[in-house]
Amino acid sequence: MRLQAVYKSKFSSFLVSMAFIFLLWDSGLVVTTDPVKISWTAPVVDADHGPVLAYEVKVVTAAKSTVRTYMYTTINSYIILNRPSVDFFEVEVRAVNPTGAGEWAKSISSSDAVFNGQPGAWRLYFMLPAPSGGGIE
Amino acid sequence: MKKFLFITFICACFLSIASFVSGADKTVRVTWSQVIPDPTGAVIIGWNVYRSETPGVYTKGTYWVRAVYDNVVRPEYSVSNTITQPAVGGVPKPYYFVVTAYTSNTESDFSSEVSTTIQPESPKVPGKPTNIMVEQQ
Repeated sequence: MRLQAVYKSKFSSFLVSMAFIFLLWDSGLVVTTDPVKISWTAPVVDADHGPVLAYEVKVVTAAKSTVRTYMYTTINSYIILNRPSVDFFEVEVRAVNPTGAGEWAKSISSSDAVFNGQPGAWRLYFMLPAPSGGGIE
Repeated sequence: MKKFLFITFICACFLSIASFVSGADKTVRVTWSQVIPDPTGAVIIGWNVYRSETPGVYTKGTYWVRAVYDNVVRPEYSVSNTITQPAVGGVPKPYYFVVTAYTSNTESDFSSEVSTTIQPESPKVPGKPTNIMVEQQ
């Protein structure tokens, strides 16, 4: 009975490890406890696309069973993202104007994102910060 | 000889048709010429530009835009004004223009009429941002 429990525990650990490996397989991972700056290049205005009034930024986590989404709006081509929670995150950005919203550009798409100066997908992992201070009396 | 001296210059009118959301601003330039009798003729103070959506229908005094002559002979005097035409559900619309010269107490006949048709453009949503990147702060 006890042996069965050990096997179950090991199998669970294996599954979790495989999930992480799969997650990192095709994308870079930025691990941080601090705020990060997320920036992008504005879309071109041409015969088929109108001017940009603002951007919507969606920060999504699906690493756990519940998908959590954090929405931000900015008129700049960047945002400073403070840790929404301790988790893995994907970032999506789209431009909007009074006519409507454009397509989402995704950090997990290598055609939309840049990682280490090269076209490449990436994810964020916000770690739990270590306790600060400390001392002995 | 002086009596027959005429000074000719061009009075130009710029009409801007603006539509912010589609970036479909257009500029239509309409020009007229004016002969100014010097110095014994009537003293021109400026020109009135009339706009109509029906050919031949104008009312003296209710001008659309006015260009003031400052007694300096220039190759061109210009004024501008904006027509805002709805793009959504809009249809091509003709606009008609005439100009008059005016003095302190009189106004000339209407000039020959010119017209232009404005084709509204559908507003467009922005394109997709590119190069999403992340920097640690």
